[in-house]
Order: sequence, then C-alpha cells, then structure tokens
Amino acid sequence: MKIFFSTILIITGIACLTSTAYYIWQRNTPARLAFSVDHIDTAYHDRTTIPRELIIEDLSIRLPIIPANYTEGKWEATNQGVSYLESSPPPGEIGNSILYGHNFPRLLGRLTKIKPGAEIVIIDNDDARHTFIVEYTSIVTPDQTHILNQSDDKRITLYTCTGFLDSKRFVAVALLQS
Amino acid sequence: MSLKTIFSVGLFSALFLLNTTLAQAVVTPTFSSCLNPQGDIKVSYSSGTHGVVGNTAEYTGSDTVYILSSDTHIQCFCSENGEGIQTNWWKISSLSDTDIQVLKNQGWFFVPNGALWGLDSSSYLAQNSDYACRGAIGGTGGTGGSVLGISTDVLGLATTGNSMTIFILFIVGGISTVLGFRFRNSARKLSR
Repeated sequence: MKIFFSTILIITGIACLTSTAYYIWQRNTPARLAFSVDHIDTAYHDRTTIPRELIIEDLSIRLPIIPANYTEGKWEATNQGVSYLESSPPPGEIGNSILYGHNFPRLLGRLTKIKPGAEIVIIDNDDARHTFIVEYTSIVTPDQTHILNQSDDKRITLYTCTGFLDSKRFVAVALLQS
Repeated sequence: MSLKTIFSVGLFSALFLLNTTLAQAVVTPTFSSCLNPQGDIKVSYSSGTHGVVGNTAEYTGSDTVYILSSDTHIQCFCSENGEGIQTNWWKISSLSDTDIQVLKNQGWFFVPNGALWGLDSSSYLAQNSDYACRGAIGGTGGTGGSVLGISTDVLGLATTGNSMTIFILFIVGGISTVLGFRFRNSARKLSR
C-alpha cells in the first residue's frame, strides 16, 4: 500500500515538474505557428478596420494582434501575440482601444521598460500605420478597471502582468500622434 | 514537527488573519487613475509650483484636480521631468479615530482642513501613488463610458501571466516527488 502511495506521489510530482518546465519553455520560446484558432468572431470580420500588428521599436517588440472578447467574466487571451478587445474602438479612432498580452519574455515581458515618449505603432489589415506616443505608465491592481473606460481622445491602453506572482498590472497609455 | 510548533504556527496565522480582517473593515472608495481620469476638472494648471500632501518638497509641473464625486477627488501632478504623483482625496465625515488610524497605517495622510489644499473646509484623507508621464501634459476628463459593450461590470483586468501557476506546480511537484521517494525508501526498509 505504501509503495503504491509513494508511486502515485512520484508520478504526480514528475507531472507537475514537467508542466512547470513546459510553461517556462512556453514563456521563452519565440512565437510559433499553431493549428489552434485563438478566436473567430463574426463581429470582428464585419469590421473594415482590423488592427493586425503591434510594433514597439524601442523594446524590439513586433507582435501580431489577435482579437479577443470579454465574456461571462472571462477575458480571452492569446499565447501567439497581443489580444485586442474587440468591443473597444479600433486603434486610431476616438476612444480607448484596449490591448493586452502575457508577460512572457517573447510577448510583452519587456513592456515594463517602456518610457513616456516611446512610440507604439499599430498596423491595420489595410497596411495603414497609426503611431501612438506613450503619455503615461503606471502599475495598478487588477481591480482598477477604470483604465478600460472610454475617453474623448484617440488612445490605446496596453497592459500586461507584473509584480510578485503577477499580482499587478503594468499599464501604458499612448495617444495618437497628431 | 512538534505539536508545539504546529500550535504556534496556527495561532500566528489566526492572529494574522484576524488583524487583516480588522484592517479591511474600513471600506475606502474607489478612485480612477490619472492614466484615464474620470469626472469634471475642478482646477488645472499647465505649469507652476505645487505641493503634494505628506511631502514638504515643492514640485514644478502641471497639476489637475478631477471631481469624482462629492466626497472624492483625484489630483494628477506631472513634473517637468516626467515623474507623476496621483493623490486620492477622500472627504471623511463619519470615520472614527480608530478607522483613521487604521488607514494612516495603510499609507493615508490625515488632512484636518482641506481648505488649505483648495478643497472644502472638511477633514480629508489623502493617499499618494506614483506614475510616469510625459511631462507637463494636462489630461481632460473622461466620459466614463464602458468600452466593453456589455452591461455587467468587469471584476478585474485580464490575467496576463502564469507565474503563480508555475510557482504552485513547482512547489507541489517538488514536495510530491520528495515525499514519494521518502515513502518508498521507508517502505523498502520495513520490508527487509
């Protein structure tokens, strides 16, 4: 009985450690092609303007933008790039466009190093480029959802996890360059 | 692990939880952020020398105060070199001295008379937090509308990290493996 119990413990332990290794590998491995479709939504395809790519030259970040939704209290998030909240206005239009992504080194892990004045470029599906200048950065708690509120200007709010065990969010707010 | 140690750890944990519960008994209002300020502008200066509560230094830069409600304001200061300080102002009317002391222990400053800071002649609690800005940029009040297109409130921002998962898996995996091998060794010794 004791041998059986110890075997279960060892198998569980090895499974957990293998999962740990996988997650660490996933965080650090460059984005790769995946057969899984992150999200397809008809509302997204009805739009004429779709953000396609996010570029932050200062941080050597160049990532695809994947549309996502907030439904039934859950945020969709991708491991393949940056998530764009579909119910927010497209980047470049009046309002607050919400973008977020994992803090993996291959995704937005370096975002916390961004400074006010840095350029964030969003490229649409029609190759239109929108250049935003970072105005503010801050670290907030996950319940400070007012950063998602609408605005009168043309801005993007880009955020990722930070802090001890990802307990906080690093937020960069950038306004469209006039 | 002795019974005495287990009892001590249990007692310490209970006292810690009790203390945390008492400290959380005072419900503070929510404040928007200077990153996306809401409400009407009470006063705005694009430049000048300003004071920050709890700090005797003088700061030069832009300063804007937003009215969130009759009892809450936020002050967004942005220095010329891009250092931002957000001050949350809370007009207190029914807080006991004990409550005020609890909040002071959490980093709030007690201001007996807000008139000295251009506010009402009432008592206020104020709390500072840092942010980074582009220098002397004054914001405009937001409209406060939701971008989510849904009627329900969002409980929190997206979880964009898995450090907690990795940490828990590593700890559980490590403990489980070590215990497994120890049980196996002790079982083999018994069987000999």
